[in-house]
Amino acid sequence: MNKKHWRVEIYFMKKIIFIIGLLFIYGFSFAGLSVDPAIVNITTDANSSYEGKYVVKNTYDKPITVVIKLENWNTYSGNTNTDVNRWLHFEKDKYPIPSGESIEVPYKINILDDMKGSVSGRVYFSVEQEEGQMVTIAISVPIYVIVRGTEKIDFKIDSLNFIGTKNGINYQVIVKNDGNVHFRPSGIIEIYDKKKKKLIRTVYISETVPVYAEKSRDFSGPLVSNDIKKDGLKKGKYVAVLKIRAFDKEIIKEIKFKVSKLGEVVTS
Amino acid sequence: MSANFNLPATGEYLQVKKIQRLAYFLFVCLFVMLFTNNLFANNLTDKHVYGLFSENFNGATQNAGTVDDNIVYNVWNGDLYPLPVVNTVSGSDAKEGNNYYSCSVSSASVGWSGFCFTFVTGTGNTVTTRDISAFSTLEFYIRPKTGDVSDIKVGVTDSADRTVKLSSLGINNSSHTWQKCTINLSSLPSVNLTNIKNPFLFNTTFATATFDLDSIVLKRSSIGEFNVTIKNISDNLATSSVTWNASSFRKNWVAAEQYLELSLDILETDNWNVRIYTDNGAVSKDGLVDTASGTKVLQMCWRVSKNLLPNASGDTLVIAYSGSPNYALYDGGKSATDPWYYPWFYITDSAKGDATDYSLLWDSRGYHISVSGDFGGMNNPIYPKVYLGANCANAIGGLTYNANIKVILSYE
Repeated sequence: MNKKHWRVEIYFMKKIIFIIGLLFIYGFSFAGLSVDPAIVNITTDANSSYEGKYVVKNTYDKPITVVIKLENWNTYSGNTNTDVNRWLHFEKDKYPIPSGESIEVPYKINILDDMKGSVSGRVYFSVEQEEGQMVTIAISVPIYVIVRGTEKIDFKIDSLNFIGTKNGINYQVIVKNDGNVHFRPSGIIEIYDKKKKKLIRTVYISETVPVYAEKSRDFSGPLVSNDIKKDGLKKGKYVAVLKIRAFDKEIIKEIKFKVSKLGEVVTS
Repeated sequence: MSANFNLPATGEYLQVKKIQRLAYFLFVCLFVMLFTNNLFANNLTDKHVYGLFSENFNGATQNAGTVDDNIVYNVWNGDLYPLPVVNTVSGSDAKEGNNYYSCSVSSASVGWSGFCFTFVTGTGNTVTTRDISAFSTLEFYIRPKTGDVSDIKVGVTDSADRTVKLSSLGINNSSHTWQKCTINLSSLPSVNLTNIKNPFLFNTTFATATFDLDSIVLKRSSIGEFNVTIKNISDNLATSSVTWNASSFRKNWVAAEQYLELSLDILETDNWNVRIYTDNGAVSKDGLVDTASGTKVLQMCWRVSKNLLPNASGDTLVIAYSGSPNYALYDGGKSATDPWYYPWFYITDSAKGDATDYSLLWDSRGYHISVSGDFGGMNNPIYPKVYLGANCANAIGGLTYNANIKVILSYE
């Protein structure tokens, strides 16, 4: 091989190293879209307005355009016009964001005279598709608004069931919201002996997802395990008292149930 | 035919060989890096949500050898105190994923006890310290069971333990359900967050109790990212579109040649989920749609896995179906008795607004393993892979079929 061949070989080797180096850098980079805050909760008067903003960040290695789209969510039907665009406004529906930078996206909420109860909408922040791009990512965040002074709090426990599983007994509670505002219920299940004299077990239901106006939602979780030595229930009859709380209201439901020798549960 | 070889001067020859060796070394490193995704990632530097014990968020790995983000579990006792018992338990009652820590501690008249995670480095697990000052909070879930957890102290260790009592975090000892604890790291007394040995410490002296722990993370005040990357199944390299091989023509359910890799580094609330839809503008267009008339639709399906597929555990990309007319889709390589026999879901269009588990890829329970309602936790590196399938049996030659796919991170 002659010197020219070697020079060419050196040249291409350096190119390969350069390309590999670029791929190394590319491989280490992290990228994506972020939106803050994740959830907006507002309580405000009728005929008022509220101004807020989202911070949207682009950590891709190229500029992107974020497209904003609004959708109705779970607005109380007693509002004659439930269109989210009636009360939630963004200045623009597209925002270009340079690579590695954040922008503020302002919005305004106008609560009109005729609005009552709760209104809610979802804001979708999507990365605008490029030509030929098949997959789009989006972050969807809710905005919940309660119109102060128009709230009607009314909810009930539709059902309480205990279900045997391979690990123990689970509870399933269905809460029905007959009011006009959403809420995130919490509660407890107290298990007594059959004469309701001795409290054997207490299980707390944490505040989590909302129950929307005029809708039902089920909450389930483990009640007791199969392990009698820990928190399992022996064969026998019991009384369960469920207390669900939201706002300043508490409702109670009581059921009787039996646990068999094999851990099977029957409610009555 | 003969060939003349004129050898170059020695210096030039050595330069070429050095470059060749360097190129080969870099090539091997690149191969390892790309094949074992994120092997060299430093989560402590990069992540906004850093999992210390989490099945949904990347972070530290216990006994990870020479890999960064290496921690070990330590437990101690002294004098009359028994050693705390901490076991990993699998159960559907985990706060996140499938596993949680079940803990049992007892006090005595004299002594001490506790457990922690400790940063270590190297194959010998040499104790080290790390800078966690970029993080603002330490968050975890505790489920009190018996006894009293109020006097347990929790925090971090720099040159000394920096802790607060659980009672100061609003824990209700009578509540036998998961309760979230959030510690503002900078509020820990005299803490030096740039020099942390134990990023999670439980001082259980004075406590007699049983309790569970789960979802232990460090979090920054800034928000992280959500992203989806399309990658080739063949070489795991990023690409820009999802395709089906021409051999799929007129065949029933066939997997695409790419997968979607999900990356989540945001934890603002536990009520989050990731869903997938087609975004073709109509309920009926829940698949690949011909670009000519827009009326011919090839149904699509999806499945999500924590692993690359196919894999040695029997998960294949062979999509089989049974029953009629709304047949169930199952993994053609699995036994019918496998609990995760039905990992494929029909895709729906976003116009339908499906909010059931049917469009659900991933939430705090884990990735959505199968139609039977199973969710699975994951271990580092946590990047769930979404595989797509299409029923090409009725594909018409000469037509082009396209679909817009939307992957959405939602809060409630």
